[in-house]
Amino acid sequence: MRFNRILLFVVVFSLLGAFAHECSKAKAAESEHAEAKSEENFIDSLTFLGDSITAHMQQRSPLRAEQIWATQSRYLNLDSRITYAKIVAPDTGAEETIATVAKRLRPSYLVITLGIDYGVYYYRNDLQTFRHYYEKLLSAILEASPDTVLILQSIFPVGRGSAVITNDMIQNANAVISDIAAARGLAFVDQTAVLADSDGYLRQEYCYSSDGIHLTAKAYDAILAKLASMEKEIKEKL
Amino acid sequence: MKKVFFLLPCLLLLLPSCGAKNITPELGAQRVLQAWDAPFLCADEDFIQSNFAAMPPFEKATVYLSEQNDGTEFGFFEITDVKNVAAAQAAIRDYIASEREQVLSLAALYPGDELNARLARYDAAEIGNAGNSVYYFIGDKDAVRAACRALA
Repeated sequence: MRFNRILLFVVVFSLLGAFAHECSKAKAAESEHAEAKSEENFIDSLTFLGDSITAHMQQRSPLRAEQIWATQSRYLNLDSRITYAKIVAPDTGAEETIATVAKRLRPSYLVITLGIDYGVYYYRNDLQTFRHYYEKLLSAILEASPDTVLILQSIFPVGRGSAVITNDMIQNANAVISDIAAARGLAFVDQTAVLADSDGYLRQEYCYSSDGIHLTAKAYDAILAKLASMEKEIKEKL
Repeated sequence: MKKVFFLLPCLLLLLPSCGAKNITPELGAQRVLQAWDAPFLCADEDFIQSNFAAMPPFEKATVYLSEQNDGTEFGFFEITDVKNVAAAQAAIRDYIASEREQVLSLAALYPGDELNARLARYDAAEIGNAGNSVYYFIGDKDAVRAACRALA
């Protein structure tokens, strides 16, 4: 009799233990699923502004067309005309200034990647001017849409095929962008470690074209994964 | 008679290239906008200060940028001392040269007709002065000619 009670006790506890374990597994899976969903939702909530490297996300990334703000010609110079430059408004298809589009659409998050077109090279010896125009754009956007959270993304490294722009120039420009982010309390997402090889060049598998500047779909996946991993840090800046 | 033949070309060389008379930036801009009859936006002070840092002191300035194509633009600077006309024109030439260089560097990344057309606009640029009002026009040849006629 006593033996039966012990046996019953063991069986019940084993069953409870197994049940608890299954619940724990289910919760972990649910939590993982929720985290993946949250990351997906976070990426979904991002809008991207930039030059051709951003524009090509339309073809080579899972982003929706309306998440990408780019010019008709795909190039977007970081220069004195930056606030006059016109992007193709994703809602109307009309060409309007960045501030005009921002004022109307009021994106929750705007990831800005700028500088490869003109800025990095032309202002390589005049980073103060580079900074001036970068900040001019940020101010124009925030004036138009004060609640938009700006995320400053590093200029991506270039491959060995880059004829004119060097990674040293890019690093110097990124130091400025990082400083701007720090000064304004904005998130700075440094994609260099994600995209560069051990010599600092854009990894071969991420190079789409021989110019060493444009990116493959795999590169964009890596970029988005990095952004997703920084969701908490970005939201802490709010 | 020989003196007339000698003096006449010299006098012609002294005239502003567009043959414009004294004109204020506001009036000049108004006439060019009417002549070009296309959408332009007025550049802000930061644009003027950034791009024309070498300009001698001026009372007023106005620069208009085309909303239809890159590279079409014009500007007027009312410089404080007419003796600085040459320096003002040099500052504008430097600006145009740097804009041209910018387009060339872009063309290396994005070769195409649009950038070639923009380069042609810089090549067709006209710089002149009407008294102490120094101006420039950048655009297609016909547009630049029309701007000059508007000032005459």
